[in-house]
Amino acid sequence: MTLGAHDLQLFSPVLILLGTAAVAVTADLYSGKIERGALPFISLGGTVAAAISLLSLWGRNEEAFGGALRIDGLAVVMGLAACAATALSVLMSASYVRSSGIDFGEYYGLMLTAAAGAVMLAQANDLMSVFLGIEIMSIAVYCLTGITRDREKSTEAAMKYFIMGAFSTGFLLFGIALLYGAVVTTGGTEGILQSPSQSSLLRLDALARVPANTPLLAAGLALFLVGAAFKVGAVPFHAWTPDAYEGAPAPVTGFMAGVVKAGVFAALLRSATVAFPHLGLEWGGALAFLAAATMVVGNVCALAQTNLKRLLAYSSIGHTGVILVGIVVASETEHAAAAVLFYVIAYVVMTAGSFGLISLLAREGGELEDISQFSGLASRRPAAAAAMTLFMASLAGIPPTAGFMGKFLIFREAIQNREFLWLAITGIAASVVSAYYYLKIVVAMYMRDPAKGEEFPKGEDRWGAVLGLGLASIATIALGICPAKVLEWCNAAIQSVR
Amino acid sequence: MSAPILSALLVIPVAGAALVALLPRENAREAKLAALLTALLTFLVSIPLWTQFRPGNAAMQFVETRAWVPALGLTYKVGVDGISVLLVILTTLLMPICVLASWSITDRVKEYMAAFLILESAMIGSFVAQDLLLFYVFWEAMLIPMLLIIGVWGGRRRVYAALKFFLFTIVGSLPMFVAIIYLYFKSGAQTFDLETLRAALNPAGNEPLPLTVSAARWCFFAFALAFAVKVPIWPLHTWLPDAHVEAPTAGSVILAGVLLKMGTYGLLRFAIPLFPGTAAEFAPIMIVLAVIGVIYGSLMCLAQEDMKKLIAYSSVAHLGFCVLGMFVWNDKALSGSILQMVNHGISTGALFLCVGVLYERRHTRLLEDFGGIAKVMPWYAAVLIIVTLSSIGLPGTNGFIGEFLILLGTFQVKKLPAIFASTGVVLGAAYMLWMAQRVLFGRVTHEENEHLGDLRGREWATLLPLLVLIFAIGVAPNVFLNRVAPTVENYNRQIRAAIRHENERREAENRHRALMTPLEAPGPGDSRK
Repeated sequence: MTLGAHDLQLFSPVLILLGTAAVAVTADLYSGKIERGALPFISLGGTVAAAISLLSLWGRNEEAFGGALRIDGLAVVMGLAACAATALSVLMSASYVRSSGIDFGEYYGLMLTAAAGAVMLAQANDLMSVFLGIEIMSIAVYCLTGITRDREKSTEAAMKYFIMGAFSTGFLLFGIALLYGAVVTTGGTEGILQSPSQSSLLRLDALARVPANTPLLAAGLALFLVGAAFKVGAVPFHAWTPDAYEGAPAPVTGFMAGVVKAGVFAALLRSATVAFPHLGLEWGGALAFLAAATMVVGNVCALAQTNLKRLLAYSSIGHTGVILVGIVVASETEHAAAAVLFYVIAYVVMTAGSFGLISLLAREGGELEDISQFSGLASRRPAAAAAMTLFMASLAGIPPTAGFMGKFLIFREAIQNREFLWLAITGIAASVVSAYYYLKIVVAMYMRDPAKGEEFPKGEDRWGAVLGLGLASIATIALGICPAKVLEWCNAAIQSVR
Repeated sequence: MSAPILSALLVIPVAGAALVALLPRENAREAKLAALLTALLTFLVSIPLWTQFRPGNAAMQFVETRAWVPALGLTYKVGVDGISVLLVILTTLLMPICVLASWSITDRVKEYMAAFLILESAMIGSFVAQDLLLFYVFWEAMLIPMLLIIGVWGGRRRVYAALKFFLFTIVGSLPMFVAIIYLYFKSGAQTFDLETLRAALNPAGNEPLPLTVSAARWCFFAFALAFAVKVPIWPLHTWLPDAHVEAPTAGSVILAGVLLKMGTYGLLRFAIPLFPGTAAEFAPIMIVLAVIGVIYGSLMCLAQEDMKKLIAYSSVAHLGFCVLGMFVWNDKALSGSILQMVNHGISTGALFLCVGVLYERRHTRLLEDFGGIAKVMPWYAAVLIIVTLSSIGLPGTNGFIGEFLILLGTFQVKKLPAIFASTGVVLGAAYMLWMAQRVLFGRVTHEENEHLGDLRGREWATLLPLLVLIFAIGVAPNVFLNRVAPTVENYNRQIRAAIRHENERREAENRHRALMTPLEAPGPGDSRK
């Protein structure tokens, strides 16, 4: 396999992100000369450049590195979603990291590395690159979770997240090994004679040639799915989520919620369409059950939370469930995969927004975490409270917001199929439950008086977070009112994979 | 059909809300003025709906259609007919009144006004949307502003009331959401357009019915539930007294005046036409619930000590009449129903304004805290008496026309419900007059009440338009009924035909099925064989 300019061009978004990460880390070494305040700008610039190079690849549908990566619509759209999450998180981080003393280059470096991993994951066309993408992304996110070393919770969260994550990676890797075995021992090797490279044995389309009833394939797929379920926090592999979300600094939480989902769901969708077209037949029932359980467990557990970050963690489990519904249905109906993409984009925007608000209100002493601490926010910081209300409405799926459109798209596909009608009804029932706990936050902000001595920090010096929140708000409404264009892209993206 | 009036009605309030929200926080007065001007402008823009409306035309008018998300079958389609045109104008009329009635608000004025204006857009949108999903978007978009209005500017138990309102409504609405999407696929029409869907669900000839009996029942149930919560139909009414008592005056006015009509309007526009056969099947139940609502609401009124709670329960009774008039498929009753919706908006709105006048002066709404008010506030007493009489349905006022038509029409078709419902009229007279008597007449029982000032200019401005309408509709009801009647006749003709057609079809199907399995006696247990 030779490394050509062609490969590098297709790989450029990842390279740009990694390069910017390197620049951010090294720039900090000279921080005597270069102001640390420049770091967010550097990171933002890199992210935007990566997004532009992704955009320039729209419509190319080509493979790179001997088929290890495939740059098509799916890669571009989910890569852009990851870049959007990164850009928003960098904006939200700028003042937060300064006030909590973690504004060193590594912070931005790790963020950009994780983003690079997610972008690569969205392009991954063989199991090895899936693994590489997941690892690049995950390891950076573990470190980010624990980046406030002196905070016990943060360290604990990183530890838990790392150990659980390492386990799940083990499952994933073992699954990949079994799948490899399945390809080698069955008819999957037919095409190999023409292009005898290691990589092509792990190619996703090679797996599609394996007979569906091969035991190795079933075992490998099961472990592969377990690994992926860990990463997105699906029941019953969700236990790490609340701790990690609570312990990580708020902008990091918003970042990992969005970026990890964009990357992993892109990989899941690609493997579901390319490698396991029979997924729905063999595993539809089990996956549907998991999706329903994820929606119910996430939303019901969220009811009991008083800590906003934990609440949003459980809510993210609920949203994972909804996305899984889309993935389950995608094996049966045409537009469900596009609905999944749309939902991930909507989720990225509204989650970045809600964690952005926590970042905006963070003080040197720490973050506002308990819901009661948000009491009276609306009378002190009306714009922030209005934005948060918008994000909560969107997460709850109340129109006219991105979240509503996303739920509409996914449940629409589920309702279309009689066998998945129950899944849609479960999801809608879970949404009713979720409306209650999202409402609790709105109630606290608007209808309760601020606690004595509670002061919300002023927003003047936090232009980054303010800008980020503004962008996220606009996107949340825009996706809810005129989704046509984005939906078109999502559809085109899915078409390009097939 | 040149100017996009309906779209303008949707855009102007939201634009006004954005403007209000951008004002600096100190400028409370400017925020109120901006909101008032926006509401007045909206009202002015809505006037052509009245003047240019062609009364003889039963079809949708002022229709605008634009592509929204073609890939999903979503269209932006708005229009009004005789059923909705009065309700839209009622909304635009009540809104400036509400803004004026909120002049004394001092806490977070900006947000308050913005919430009201956004609410106005959503309400108008719900009345004019001709696409099911578009309707649903507006329908749900009303929730958050109303939640905030009750929960932030409400009374002591406002949070409880606001949550209860929100949860009742959303639990009711989400099944409708599923049903809407289900219809999109099962009707075979692949659209959310109301007219197309209606035609697809009720095919004229011998084409097979797209929904099975049980699916139609489930869908009707989902729609009816959403609307029944909003009306509210007994026994789903429990959120209403709480919401009314805790809401600020203007919130109560808009809640009673417009929001409750969403429920009756929704039944009329969506639940019945989409599933006429099922609606006919469930009509006896709806009629019974409506009559229970009338009697129960009235009896509850007799026991209330809080004026707002009393008026809230009277709403349950009045809307019971509206629902009754809808499910008998009689032209007179249905016209009465539609007019009663408007009347209730006017009378109950005015009643809440009257309560607000007293509340602003005394910060209490308990009947026992008043008495002899007529001596200190003679003009106020005159207004309250007029509004009370209109609410009772005294001939010469608007309330008479609506209730009378409903009872008359119902009596022609179904005697017993009409007889039971007319007890509501008697009880209505009892509780309303009793309330007026306890507040207005007798000795001045509380010292604090001796020096209350009479109606002020701003209060006159809020009440006068409603008083004029009370008499206008009462004296010249035909001006209003003319606009309603063609739509109503056409509507009932269609519905009756559809019910008959569907019943024949179902019977034919049953006969057919019985013929196909002659050896097995069709019993409940062995339908699967």
